[in-house]
Amino acid sequence: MTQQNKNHMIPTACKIISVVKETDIEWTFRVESPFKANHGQFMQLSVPKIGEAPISISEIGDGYMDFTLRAVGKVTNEIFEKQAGDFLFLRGPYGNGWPVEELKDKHLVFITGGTGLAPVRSLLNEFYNNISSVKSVTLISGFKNKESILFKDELKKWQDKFKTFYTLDNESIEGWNSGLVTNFVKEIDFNSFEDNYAAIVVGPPIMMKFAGLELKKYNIPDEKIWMSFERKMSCAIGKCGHCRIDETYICLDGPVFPYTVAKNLVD
Amino acid sequence: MAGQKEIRNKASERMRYKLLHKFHDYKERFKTRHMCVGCGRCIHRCPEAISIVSTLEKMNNAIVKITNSNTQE
Repeated sequence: MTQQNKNHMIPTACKIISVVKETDIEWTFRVESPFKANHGQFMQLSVPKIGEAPISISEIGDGYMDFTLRAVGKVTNEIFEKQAGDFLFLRGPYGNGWPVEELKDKHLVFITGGTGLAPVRSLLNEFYNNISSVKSVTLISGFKNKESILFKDELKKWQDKFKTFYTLDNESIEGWNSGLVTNFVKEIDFNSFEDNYAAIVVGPPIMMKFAGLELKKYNIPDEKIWMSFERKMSCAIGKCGHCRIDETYICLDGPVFPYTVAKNLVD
Repeated sequence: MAGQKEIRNKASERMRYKLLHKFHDYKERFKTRHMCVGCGRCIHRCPEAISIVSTLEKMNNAIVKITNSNTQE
């Protein structure tokens, strides 16, 4: 088949290598994959006869990919029935990932809420392994309560090289802060970054909105703030328009946007 | 979306989204043509007998009214 009349909707069967249970309802599936993806892109995961769901890649490795998903619906409930050795059907990768080259040699501030940590996990690990490629990394990560904490081992690991603020919304346990992520933006000294920094915000829409407004209080220019949008992509190739916000197709133009674009994307 | 959140809860919001997709946003993004080809099948299919033609006409009249009142001021 030539490239032109290739059917983009045909998925590839990929074997599940392992399943890690992060919480009761959020599991990480490590899947063998022949695809080459960038940090922050997403794949369409499907189960035959059930359906398809867009899931962001939470780790890219040599011949494998991780997907962290929560059992909330028809497809994800069905995926949770699967175990290592079973097959998941993938197509992709889709969307534009994080602008990795642009983020290098900068002071980076990551602000994540809940599962918003998953799309940046591979990027954080990349910078963790090559800490010399960036000036510094500050991670503000918030979760609802102690049952919903994801990637516990990695959160602990990141503490040695990154400046971290881990917080729970309305609970306080040992070693964790309490309060919303927006309360911790003031702890960051943006002046010491000498204008060479970028802020990355991922989370639920309401959290991204207020994190954006909070960052603007410190006069951070729009082009230094990056956001990753969550939408229910159905086709992921710009045909169906389900993920559209006005004339912006999140699957083609995003899911990662600079704040210059993101602030106008109000649905 | 994650957590079973709905972005557009009301039928009116979904209708607006659909109309904009068919008659504005798709063309705006891909610079080709409007997505609706005007076959009229949706009128026959609709269980509530909502005509897309009259909806469009209503919208168009509203736009004319708004622009007229703006120019008069």
